[in-house]
Amino acid sequence: MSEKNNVVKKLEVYALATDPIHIGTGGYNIGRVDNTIVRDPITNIPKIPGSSLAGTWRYYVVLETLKDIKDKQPDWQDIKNENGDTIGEKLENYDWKNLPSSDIKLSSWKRFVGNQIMRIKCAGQDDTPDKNSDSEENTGHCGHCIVCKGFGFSKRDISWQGMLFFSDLNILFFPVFTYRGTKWITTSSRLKEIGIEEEAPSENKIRTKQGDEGHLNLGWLYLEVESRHTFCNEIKICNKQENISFTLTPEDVIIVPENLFSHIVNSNLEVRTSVSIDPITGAAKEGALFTSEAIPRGTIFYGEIRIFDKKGFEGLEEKLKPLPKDKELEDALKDSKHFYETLGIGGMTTRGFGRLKIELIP
Amino acid sequence: MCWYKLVFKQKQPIHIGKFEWGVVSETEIFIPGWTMWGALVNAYMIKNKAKDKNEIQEIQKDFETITNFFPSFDGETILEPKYKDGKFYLGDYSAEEFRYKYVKADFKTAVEPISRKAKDEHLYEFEYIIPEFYWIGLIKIENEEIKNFFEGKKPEIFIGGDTKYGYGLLKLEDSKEAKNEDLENWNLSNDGKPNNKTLKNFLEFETNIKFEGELKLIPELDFRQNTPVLTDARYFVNVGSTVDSSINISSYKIYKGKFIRNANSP
Ligand SMILES: [Zn+2]
Repeated sequence: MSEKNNVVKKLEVYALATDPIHIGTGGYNIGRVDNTIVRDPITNIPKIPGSSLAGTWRYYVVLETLKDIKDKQPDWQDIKNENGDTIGEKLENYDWKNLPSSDIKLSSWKRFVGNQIMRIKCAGQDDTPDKNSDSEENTGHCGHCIVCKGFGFSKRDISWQGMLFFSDLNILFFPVFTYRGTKWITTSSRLKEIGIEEEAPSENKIRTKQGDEGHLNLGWLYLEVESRHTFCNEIKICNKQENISFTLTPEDVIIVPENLFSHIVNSNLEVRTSVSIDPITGAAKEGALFTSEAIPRGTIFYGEIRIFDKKGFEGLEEKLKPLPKDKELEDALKDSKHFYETLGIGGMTTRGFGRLKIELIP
Repeated sequence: MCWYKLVFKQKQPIHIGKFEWGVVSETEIFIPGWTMWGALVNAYMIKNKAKDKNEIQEIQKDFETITNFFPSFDGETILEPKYKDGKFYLGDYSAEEFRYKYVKADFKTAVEPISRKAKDEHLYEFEYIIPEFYWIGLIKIENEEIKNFFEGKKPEIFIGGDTKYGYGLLKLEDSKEAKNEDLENWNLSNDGKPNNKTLKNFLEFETNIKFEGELKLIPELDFRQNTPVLTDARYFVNVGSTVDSSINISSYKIYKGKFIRNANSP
C-alpha cells in the first residue's frame, strides 16, 4: 500500500458579490424582516451555506458540459450494444467512438466517459431515487457522469457521497460607508483564515492603513482609529474571459474588533421593501408589503473546496468505476464558475440579486 | 499493549444522525464507535488506496476495535456519561443542559437548482454540536500501517452528516499509547472486555443482566444504497448505565463502541 502525500486538493474560493446576495432561510420571521437570510448561529453573521454553493455549482457544471457535448452523446442503444458487463464498462469501451477528430480539443473533463450519458437531470435533485443506477429510462441522476461522481448521487442500488466537499462562504471583507468613501471591514481572525497574521485592535477601536485619521464613521458607528495595520496584500478577483478585475488595496481595508464585526455587518445589510403583486389582477395586494434583507454588493467572501481522491473506494463498488481525476474536477469547477456572473446564487435572482465573481486558487 | 488514545479537535459543527422527527434532524451528543469507525476508514482509504474488496475488508477490520468518543473541554478529561435521577448526563450537564448550551440548529430549505424554487416549500431544522470540544476515545491497533496513519501527518476526518457542506471536520490533535489508567478509566480490559462499572460503550442486552439506566434498540445500517439496508438490530444497555457485577464479562468484546457477545463473529 503506498502512502501518498497531498491526497486532498484544497481550492481556496474568493467570491465578490456584484449584486446583493439573498440566501433565504425560507420564510422564517424575525422581528420586522420577512425574508431573513442564513446566518451562522454562533456569530450571527450572514453567510452563503456550502450546500447552496454546491447545489448551484452542480447545475453550472452540467450546463457547461452539455453546451459542448449535447450533440455528441451516443444513443443509449449504441452504449447498450457495446461489450461489457456493467454500464460503466460499456461506457469505457464505447469511449466517444464517433467523436470527430476536430473535437479532440474538447477538454479532458468534458470527455469523461460517463458524460456520454449525462443529462440535465443530473443537475438537480434526483426525482427518481427509487430507480436503479443502470436504469435505461431517461430519468433522474445518471450515476455515471462527472457531476454524479463528483457531487454525489443516490439511487436505489447505490449511494455515493461524491468527491467534492464545500465549506460555507463566510464574509471576509464587508463594505461600509465612511466619510472617506467605502471601506471594507474585516477582523484578525478572518485574515488568519487566509494566512495573514494581523493583531486585533483594542476594544471599540479600529486599525487603518494610514492609522492617523483620529476617528472614522463606520455606517452610523463612530470609532477611534488606534493605529496602522500592516496588512499589505492586494485581494484580486478577476475574470479572464471578460477581463474585469476587482482589486482591494490595503488602503481600502479596516480591521475591527471581533465583537464589533457582527454588529457592523448586521446594521449595514441591505433591506428592501417590496409590494406583493397579485398574479391575476397584476395589482398590488392590499397590505402585502414585505421586506427582504441581503448581503450588499461589494462583499468579499472566502471559503474552501476540497477534492478527495477516492480511487481507494473503487474496489468497494464495481459501479463507481471509473472515478474522475481530481484535476478533471478542478477544471470542471473552474470552467463553469463564470455562470455565477450571469445566473448567480440564492433567491430573487430575477430581481437583480445573487451574482458573484468567483476566483479559485489551488 | 497496542491501545491508543486519540484526541481530536473539533474544527466544524458536527451532526451525528439520531432521529428524524418529521422535519427535525436531531443530533446525538457523543460520537458512537461505529460512526467514528466509518470516518476513520474513509479517511484512511483516501490516503491509502486499497487494491480490491479483500483489502478494503482488511482495513475495515483494522479499525473495528474502537470505543465511543466523548466530548472534552481541555483535551484531557472527558465529560463522563452517566445517569442521575433517571436522566442522562455528560459530566455535570444533563442532556438537556448540554443541548441548550452546545447544540444549535440551522433552518434550511431544500432548493431545486433548476427551478431555483424551494423544494416543496420545505423548511427543516438540522441540529449540530458547535465546535467547542475535543473528542476522545480509544482504539486497538495491531497493524503498523495504521499506526503510521495516526503518527504521521495528523489526519483530518469528517464525521456524521452533511460533511460535504461545511460540517464534521475533526483534526487529530494527539495520539499516544493508552496507559493502564486510560483503559481503567474507560472501564475496559486490555483484551477489549468490559469491567463492571459505568458503561462508556453499549452492552448487548441479555435478560439476566441487571442494570440501572436505559435500554436501546440499535440498528446497524449499510448506507451504500439509497434506502439503507438493515444489517443488524439488537438491544443494548445504553452508555452511562451501571451494570450489576454478576454478568459474565468474558464472553463480551468491544466492536465499534458496542460490547458484543461472542464478538468473534459479530
Ligand atoms: Zn449524471
